[in-house]
Amino acid sequence: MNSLKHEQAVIELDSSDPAVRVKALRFIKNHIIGNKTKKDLYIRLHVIPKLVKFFKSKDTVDSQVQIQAAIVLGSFAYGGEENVTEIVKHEAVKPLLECISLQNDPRLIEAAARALKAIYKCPTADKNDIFVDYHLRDLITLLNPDALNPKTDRERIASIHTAELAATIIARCCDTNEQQIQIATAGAFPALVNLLTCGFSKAQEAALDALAYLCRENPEFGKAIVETKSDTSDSPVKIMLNLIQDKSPTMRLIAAKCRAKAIGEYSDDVTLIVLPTLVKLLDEKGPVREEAPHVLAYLIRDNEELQKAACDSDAVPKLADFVTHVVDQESSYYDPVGDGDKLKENALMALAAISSLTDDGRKLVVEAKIIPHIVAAMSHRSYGIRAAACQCTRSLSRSINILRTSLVDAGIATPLFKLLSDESTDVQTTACATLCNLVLDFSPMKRMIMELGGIEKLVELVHSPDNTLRLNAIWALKNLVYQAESEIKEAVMKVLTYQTMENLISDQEIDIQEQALNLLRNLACTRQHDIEEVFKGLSEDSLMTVIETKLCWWTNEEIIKQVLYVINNIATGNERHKSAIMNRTNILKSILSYMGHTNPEIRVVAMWVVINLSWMEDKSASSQVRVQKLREMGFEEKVKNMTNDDNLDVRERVKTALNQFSQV
Amino acid sequence: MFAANDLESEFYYTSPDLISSESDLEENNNAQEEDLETGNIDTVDDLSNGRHYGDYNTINMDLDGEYTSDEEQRPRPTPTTSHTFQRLVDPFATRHHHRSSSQRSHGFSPLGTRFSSLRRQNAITSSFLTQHVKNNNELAKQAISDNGSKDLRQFHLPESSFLRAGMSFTGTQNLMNSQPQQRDEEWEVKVTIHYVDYKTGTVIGLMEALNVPNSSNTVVTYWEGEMIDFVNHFLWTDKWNSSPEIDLQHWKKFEAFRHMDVRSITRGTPTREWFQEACQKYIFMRWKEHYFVNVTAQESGLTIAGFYYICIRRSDGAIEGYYFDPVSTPYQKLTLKPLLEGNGISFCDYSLN
Repeated sequence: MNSLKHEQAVIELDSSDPAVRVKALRFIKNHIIGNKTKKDLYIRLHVIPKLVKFFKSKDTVDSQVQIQAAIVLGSFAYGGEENVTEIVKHEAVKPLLECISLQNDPRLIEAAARALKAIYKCPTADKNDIFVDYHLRDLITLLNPDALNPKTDRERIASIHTAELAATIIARCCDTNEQQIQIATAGAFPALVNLLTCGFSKAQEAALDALAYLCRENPEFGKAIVETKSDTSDSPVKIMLNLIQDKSPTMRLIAAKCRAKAIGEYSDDVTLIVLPTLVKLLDEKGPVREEAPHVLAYLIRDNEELQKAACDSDAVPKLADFVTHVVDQESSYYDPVGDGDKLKENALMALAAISSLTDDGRKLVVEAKIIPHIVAAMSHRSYGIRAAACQCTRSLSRSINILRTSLVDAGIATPLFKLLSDESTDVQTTACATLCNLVLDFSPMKRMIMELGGIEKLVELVHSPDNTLRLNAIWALKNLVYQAESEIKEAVMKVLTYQTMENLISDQEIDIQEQALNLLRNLACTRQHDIEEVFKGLSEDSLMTVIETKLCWWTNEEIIKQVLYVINNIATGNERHKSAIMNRTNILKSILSYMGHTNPEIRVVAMWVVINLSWMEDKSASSQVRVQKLREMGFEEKVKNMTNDDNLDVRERVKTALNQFSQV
Repeated sequence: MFAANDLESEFYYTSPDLISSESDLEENNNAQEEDLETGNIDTVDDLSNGRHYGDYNTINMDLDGEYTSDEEQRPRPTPTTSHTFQRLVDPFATRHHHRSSSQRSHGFSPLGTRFSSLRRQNAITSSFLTQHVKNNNELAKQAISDNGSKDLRQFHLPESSFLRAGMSFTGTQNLMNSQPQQRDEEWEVKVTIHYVDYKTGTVIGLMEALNVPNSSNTVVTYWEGEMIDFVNHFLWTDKWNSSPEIDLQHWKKFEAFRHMDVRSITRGTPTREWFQEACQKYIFMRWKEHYFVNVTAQESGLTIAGFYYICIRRSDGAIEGYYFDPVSTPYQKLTLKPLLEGNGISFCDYSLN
């Protein structure tokens, strides 16, 4: 080992002669660029703190030293996460941020920005420093290539490169909504939009990327970007569309991604240009092909029209081909998720998106004959692929026909059930969502899932710490008792317990409350025996108290609707059940007021409660007493006032109710 | 679903039924003639509302040799039989045809001659009606995408409490034998609705047939239905071996259609006033069984080749249906009521995730 000259170089960094220091820095730089072994060697020789010192000591006026030191730091940072950790540990970030101030030598700015870009590439690097002092403002200033007053062509290219670096740093520093807001407030949008027209593709790509990140999960910013005024006469959308038609596939992809995220108000170009571009990009190779399905999935995820347009393109066969034919790579040491895996995962996500809202998409996926491959992917070693495959089955299971046929034939119940116990919560959540659709009364897989221990597993998940998982679990139980025989209802409640259901009805998550109330509604449906079970399980008093509390104190329409249905179903019971409601004046008063609710769905169910409470089938004296009491409370009067309701269904129910009132 | 080895099937298109179906058409024809006498007012109304129903007249004239005499009075070149859309939506053309029709009623055209002419041509022939429907279906679709016809586009089928996932209905299916000496056969039926989407006009459910003649099994079938919402689905089936005449024969069995102006039915798009009014009381559907759930087709002893014309009453959820299958007994009737297991109507619900 000849490490002597390297040790010598490190020692020379402490020299008082700037020329010696620069020479040593150049020596180190030339050895470590692209050489991991040498980087490791120098880190062991504790070179990093020495480099950081060059930025801290006030006496170093020679910018050459700082430039070289910044380049060396950058080179270390490119060496990977461990090196970045080392650099961050020695507090190099702050001094590097100081370097990007406009008053410095442009070469120093560029070198520091390059180092910062490498540091921020690392997901674990702390991003907070950038948001203190004036660093953010400096960065945004650098987005304008003219800010550095380039004179020669060389300087001009350098300043554009610096702008590209600044855009990349911004793209990597908007992980949270808070960060997005700070960057936007500092004026990033117009600066980035202007950079889109600089004519240099690398800088344009970086600007697109930054804009896409700035409006990630933030439709408001998406709209703001689309409406940004730039220096050119073209709108941001027009500029993006030009770039979407660029020669370079990478540019097309990034531009499409940016447009996909910055939708703002939907316009035709998305269907006519962005979507077809993305579908064409599926024919490319490498990283572009790998990411294109991901962007496609994002673009169409909540939009039925775009999903239909995707169906009309030839996206499904192409994506199906990736799922079927991409060779399963063995996981490599450096990169546990190989390219093939990523492509497969993204393709599955795109297929899940295309088939999420319409039967057209689902039919195409079935016709592509890839369900066996999707089922196989549910047991893949990569959790991303398992989750994406599961998402596909979830989309497909929203078609009653496919649920009853293709999915049964493919045998998804058992592999899906296994995923409920997956090590990844993402996978568990998606599996549980799919299961919601599989346990319905008309699903041939319901019986099988119960035999596998479905009820016990779902009840276990109801107690999970993850809210989405809890929601999906109680949702599945609700679906399981839809139209179910009394035995199934009893089997569910034996494991879940009425106590747990009562707790869930008062859960902090409103969505969970809604599902739990719907469960109660389904339990109390159809047969008097079932209503009696609920009365026994909760006790009449606490059942009525739960109902009263919800009905009188909550305003959420979904909650109110479910509670009213619970009351309605109880009102179809025997005399005791009906009188349990009649004895609660507060409940009756609430029903009376909900008959005038603005939401017609609520008026309809309130009317049904009135119809069922005044039901005359049995001609018993008690029903006459009920009608009498309802009349005294003003129900008949209220119903009469509703004969001209806007809603046809309400008017029909009004007629029935008035007819029943007239019989007493 | 129907008994597969139904002996009567062979008769359907031969003697008694053919006659009865022909007489149905004859009836249409008469109604139409009557309409012609009074129908002009109707047409005026349509036009004064700014809608272009003129297609009816137009086609009639094209197909009725008798009306060629009118052509001479037309200020414009005679449109050909294979008329185009432009012509139909051209308000001038429509107005013109309307005018000629009113001229007719004022004695320009001897109605008596027209009647005989119609009879000679055997009234509304199959191809005539089919042509009608094709044109009118196109028109209806166009009307929806057309800015000029806001009424129909804005129409959306109001929802009904009885047509929801989770609702069950029970009743009977009836073989109405045309030969009086044979006893009517019937079996019990239970239908459960499992999926309803008013936006796409889709209904899905299961149908259970109990004590079917010549079958020991309870037979369950899976069906998918279309709501006639004039957005996704129209009165004309245009598939499943049906034809406009068959559609008419079946729709006419429903109370709502009984008093309807036949002329407006043959327009393809019944006047929207009429249809919207009918939809205030009923929802019309077609249910098509796709496969057997609990038995093989062989075991079932039944056929599901046909489909049902369905009408559900909004006031009480009563369902009436007529099965159509060219090889089964005609007019097998389905009569269902909401299933009541308690003292009232309860509602369960699920949601796809």
